Amino acid sequence: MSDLTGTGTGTGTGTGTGAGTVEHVLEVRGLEASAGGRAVLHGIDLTVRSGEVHVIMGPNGSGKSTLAHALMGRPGTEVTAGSVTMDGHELVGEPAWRRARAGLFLALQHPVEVPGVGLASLLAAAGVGDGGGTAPAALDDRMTDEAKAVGLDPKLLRRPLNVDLSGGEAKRTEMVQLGVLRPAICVLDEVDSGLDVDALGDVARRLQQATEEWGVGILAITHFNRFLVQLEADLVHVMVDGRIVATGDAALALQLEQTGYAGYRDPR
Amino acid sequence: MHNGSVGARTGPDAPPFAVGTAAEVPGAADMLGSVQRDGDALVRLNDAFAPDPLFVDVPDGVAVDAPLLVVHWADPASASFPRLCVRAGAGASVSVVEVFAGAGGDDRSLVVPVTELAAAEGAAVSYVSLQVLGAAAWSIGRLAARGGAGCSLRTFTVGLGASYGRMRADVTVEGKDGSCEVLSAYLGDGTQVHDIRTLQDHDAPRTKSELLCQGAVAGSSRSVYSGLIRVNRGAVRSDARQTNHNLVLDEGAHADSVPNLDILENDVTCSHASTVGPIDEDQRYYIESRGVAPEVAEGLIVRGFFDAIIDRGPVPEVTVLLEREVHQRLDEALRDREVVAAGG
Repeated sequence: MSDLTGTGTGTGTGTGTGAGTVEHVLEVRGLEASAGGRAVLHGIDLTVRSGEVHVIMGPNGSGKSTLAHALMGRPGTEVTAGSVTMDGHELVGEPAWRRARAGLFLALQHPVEVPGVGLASLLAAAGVGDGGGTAPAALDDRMTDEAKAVGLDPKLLRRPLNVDLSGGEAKRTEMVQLGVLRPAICVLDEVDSGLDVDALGDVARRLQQATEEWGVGILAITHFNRFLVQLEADLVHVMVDGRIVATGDAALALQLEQTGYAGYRDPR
Repeated sequence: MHNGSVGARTGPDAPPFAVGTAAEVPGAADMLGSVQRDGDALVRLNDAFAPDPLFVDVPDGVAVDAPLLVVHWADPASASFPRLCVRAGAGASVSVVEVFAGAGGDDRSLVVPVTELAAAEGAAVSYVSLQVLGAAAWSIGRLAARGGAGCSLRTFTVGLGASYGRMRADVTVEGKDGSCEVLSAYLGDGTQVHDIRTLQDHDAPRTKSELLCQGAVAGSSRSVYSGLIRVNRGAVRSDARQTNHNLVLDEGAHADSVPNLDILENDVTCSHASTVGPIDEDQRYYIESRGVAPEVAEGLIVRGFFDAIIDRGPVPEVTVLLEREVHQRLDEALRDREVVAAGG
């Protein structure tokens, strides 16, 4: 991930590259995918560029999470047609770790507990410091800065990954990883699940800052409009039955709050 | 077999507890066999052949502030019968680390250790054993511990070496409000067999026991965990927990888990849980989705699996030593393996 080397010597969040950021683009074309042997996505087209915020909303079972995992390459989520490219480089067929190295990051709905593995070990193994010479102490400083930026008690950084963390703490820890790894494009699956209003605000504000700090492009899957109070969406997509059925600006999210998804469903 | 002990000392610099052979520690004869009361044939062998049992006797109220380290070194192609007896008087505390090493080379060796831990009322005994015997050795170990009222018995046995490594740990809490923690970790590779037997024996009211055994098998190695919780009559409001997790790292490896409960009293809390399986797919995907290559992700997860139990160990002074031993063997076990990436 080119951003890693670029920020490898940084010690905090103040090293934003602003307008000088390299432009990245995630392009999804005609994506069809099945999960557990069942066809879920029926042709998704999306283009997410650096600094943009896209929000996907939709009823339960519409395929939102399948989309997130199809992009990241989760085993068991099978892409049956279409393509996903990062800066023109095809990701379909690549393992998850290569997609991550290409600049993609997925914040999980339920971050997984990994006993005995510390956040610092994970980030070091993820290549933070590759070529940038990030010493453990510098990584530590960056983690601490990122924790503060998202209202996480830095003491929790010492815990094994997500073990005994509350929903809010786990999501904030995902944001720490995001801030240290500085991916080109960040996908967030059900970002609001398990979060109270304060945590949701912290996460949304951090994402908003990140779009300016290093120009991350965001594709956030959410159920609730309240997330968009702190995070300014460029585009809102409505997903129903594995298809994007409408795209609009933030006003569309407000409208959905009023009307629900009934008008978008297949009238079968 | 040689005991690398500190030996008995007298004079103003002598420690406020006794350590040494039967000749050097007064009352040693009473200690021998006081915990391991009636043993099987192998314990009898140890009774008969232990040349120089080592005794540690800590008087009432004495807190030994640094862990004692006992190293048993077995010569190649030998049979040896190490014996260690530890007694902590009322309110005393002591930590003991026992290492079984040597028995190298291609010729068979047999090591039959017996360790007895006695904790009087309110005493705290912490014990760690590390078995790193050579690949042709058979190790058939017995750990027996007893604790009185309000005691704290904490044991951690780590089995890494030997062709066949058996460890039976029997922990009896026989005084009210006494508690014990029984930990065990094992890692097998090649054709190794690890055989872990545990007994959590509750013999007084409101006693607590917590057991965690975690192991991994690679290559074509095997492990067996068989554990019994026994709550005797009178041990009301006792609380016993037993957890066994096994990671199977290769298709040719195999792990068995056999938890057992024998509860003769009402009004008690008991739980047991056991798992046997490969590395969790969700953990693997999560780690790999951060840009971590599959073989590195696997190493992190398996290392973490062991670090989690080592970090709980009762003698923090040896945490680094245990981690280093385990990591080194893990690196060997995981090397040159076919690893399939998540989403590949």
